[in-house]
Amino acid sequence: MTWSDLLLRLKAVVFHVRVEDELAEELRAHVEFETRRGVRAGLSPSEAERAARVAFGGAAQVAEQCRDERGITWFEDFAKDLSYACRQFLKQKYFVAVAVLTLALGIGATTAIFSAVNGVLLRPLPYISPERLVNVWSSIPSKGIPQMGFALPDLEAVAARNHSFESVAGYFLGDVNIAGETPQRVPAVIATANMFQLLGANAALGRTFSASEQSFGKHYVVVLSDALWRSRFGARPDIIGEVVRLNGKMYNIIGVMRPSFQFPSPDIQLWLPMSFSPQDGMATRDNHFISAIARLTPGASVFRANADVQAIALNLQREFTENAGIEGGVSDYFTSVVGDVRPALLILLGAVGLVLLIACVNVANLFLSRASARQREFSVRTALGAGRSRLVRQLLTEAALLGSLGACLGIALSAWLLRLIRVYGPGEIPRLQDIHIDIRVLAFTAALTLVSVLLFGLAPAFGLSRIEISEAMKAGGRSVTTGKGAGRYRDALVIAEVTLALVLVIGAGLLLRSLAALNLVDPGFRPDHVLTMSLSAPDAAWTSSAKIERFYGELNQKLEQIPSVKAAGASTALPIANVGGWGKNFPVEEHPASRSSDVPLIQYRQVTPHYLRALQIPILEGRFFTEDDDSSRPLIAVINESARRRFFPNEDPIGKQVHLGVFWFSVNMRRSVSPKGRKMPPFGRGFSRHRDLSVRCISL
Amino acid sequence: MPPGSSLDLMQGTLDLLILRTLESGPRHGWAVSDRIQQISQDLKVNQGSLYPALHRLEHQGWIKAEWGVSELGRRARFYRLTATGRKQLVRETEMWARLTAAIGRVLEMA
Repeated sequence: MTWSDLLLRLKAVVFHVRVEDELAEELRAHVEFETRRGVRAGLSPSEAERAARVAFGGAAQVAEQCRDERGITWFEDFAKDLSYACRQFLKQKYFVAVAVLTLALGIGATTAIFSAVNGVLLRPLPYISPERLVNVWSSIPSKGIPQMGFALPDLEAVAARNHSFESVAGYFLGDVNIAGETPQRVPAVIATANMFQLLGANAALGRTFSASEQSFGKHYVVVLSDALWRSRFGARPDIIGEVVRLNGKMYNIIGVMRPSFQFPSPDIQLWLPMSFSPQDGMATRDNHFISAIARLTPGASVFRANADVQAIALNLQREFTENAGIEGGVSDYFTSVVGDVRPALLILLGAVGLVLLIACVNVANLFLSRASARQREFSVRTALGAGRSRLVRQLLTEAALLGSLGACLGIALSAWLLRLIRVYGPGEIPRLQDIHIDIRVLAFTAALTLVSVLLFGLAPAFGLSRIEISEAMKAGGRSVTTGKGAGRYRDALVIAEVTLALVLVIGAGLLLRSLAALNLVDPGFRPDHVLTMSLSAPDAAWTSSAKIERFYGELNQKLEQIPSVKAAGASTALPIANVGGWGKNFPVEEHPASRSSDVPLIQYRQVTPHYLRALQIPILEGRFFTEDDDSSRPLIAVINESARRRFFPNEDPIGKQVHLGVFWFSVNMRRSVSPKGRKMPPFGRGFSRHRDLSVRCISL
Repeated sequence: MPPGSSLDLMQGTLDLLILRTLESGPRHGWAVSDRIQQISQDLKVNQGSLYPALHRLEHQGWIKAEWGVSELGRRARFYRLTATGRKQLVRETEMWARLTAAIGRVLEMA
């Protein structure tokens, strides 16, 4: 279609009346000229005019052919079909309501889930050249640890020795108390000073870290998230340079990030430079707690970088005895962010796609029964000269109108669904907060609608193939016989629908079964009537472990004095929650390991004496801690059933000696709290009486 | 020219004749058919195909229509050849020459 053609067509549509008038005028002029010739040849005017008209033929047919040549009929037909469809639909409100609602449900659900897929899986991460970002990690394959954090010296070695990265940054998560009239506890990231530069992120206000702020003593600076700046500091532009008390120490506010910046997750409210005093004891070779992200040099591959990091790790093994068994690796950062949820989201998309298919089949069926009711109408139109393609176009126009209505309603529905997903969606799905309906989603919905319209709109067209004009006319309009083809088509629709529904039901059933099975797994404690909260004793004020122990003792007492509280206990990490616990070497005195890399690992937590009572965990053998087990008494530890099976097969664990950190503990026994089925590290689990600075989670 | 005895146009030749007729200047529809009949002396242009053909050619951008006043003072729609129409005329004339020459050869020699 050329431009002039398009213009003509548009002109024909917009100036419809004028074009028709002009055509009539042109043809009239012809007849007049012909008449004058007749008169010149000696005929009387009336005779001449009659002759001219006869010679000209049917003016209406000529006009029609001219219109055809101009190609205006396509638009006219469409406009006519559309207005006809509107009039039909106004008469069939229930049919329209059911069809549009069905479509809206299918399209809305699919659009909502596709928005999530788009936002989580398809949109690039909000950093500069995100495809060059990789995760770097340590691992101890011999102990079954596929990935863990770096010890600071190892991270520094990787940063110095690699040939694959532009830069390597380390970070770890921690909660920070903000002091003030209303104290607040916010999730924070403690990161090496080069993190922002590595991600390619600048501050919206002020600046990010400078390299010198990583040295101890100069590290009292903080960068705020846009959200925290707005909610806590009233979005004041003069905030830079102000001092804020974090975990009891004064920090300088040096920058505020843009609203779009997030790392590594959107809930992080502030960023602090990573810095350790020699007294911290954090920067040792056996303390693996730092996550690492790196930017590949242009052209470097993840594969080569992985070999590079692994080679460095092997060298470190030779250089330091503490590094025995520790390997390393690199993986694509994007995959590490969304890897876990990709299959789940795609399955969900498939499921809602099936729902949409079912919706289409349903609407197709509605259309089909409506078409058989309209058999007579179509027969009459066919008898009057309407071609089959003309009738199919009429049906498709109706379908398109329904589809558009369904799509509009569906998009509104999906916007509402997205709000629900953002509020109630599982927190583990990354980037869920920034999903929204964008151009790509709308294009997807449009394509989806088009396919749906074709799917259900063409259904009755098959039924049209066998219109027997005379039969339908003879039956006087009461007959709704459909051809054999239509009947078979409808059978196919029903079969398809039942099949699709069955697939969905089976899928949903399996999902429910897994969920039920997961809920039936005995978690080892009584989760009902348990409340949790978390707090931390700031480093600044709680300098000795005796002081902290006293604080938690008093807190526990006061909590248990509340009439509705039966028991209160504290732990460094809550059960089942996968954060906050950490692993420890578990050398049993009676089973000495020949090499340090063979010493087994155990997941371990520090708890207060009433912890078991609060969670109603039964003791199987031996005893649990009491208030009397203070620092003056021999150190003791408690293990669970699976730890017993692993470390003390066929022997009585009670009274055995193990070495945890610097202390020897004797062993007691309790039931397992890491059942199969839950996603848990494959370790036994031990407890020791808390006496550590970082005891922080308390469960009531 | 007694009616009934004149030749009917061969399929597809009307476009060529219209383009050629308009080469000498803008004309309205009746004048086009009149001119073809006069010059050919033997061709009858069916009005029922003349106007659809004019609209088709306009549609293809080979001729352009404007309202004007005829020599007899009647308002009429005048068609004139466009630049692309001129090129098309050259092309179609050449095709026609080749076609008639080829047919002529077959009729003579076969």
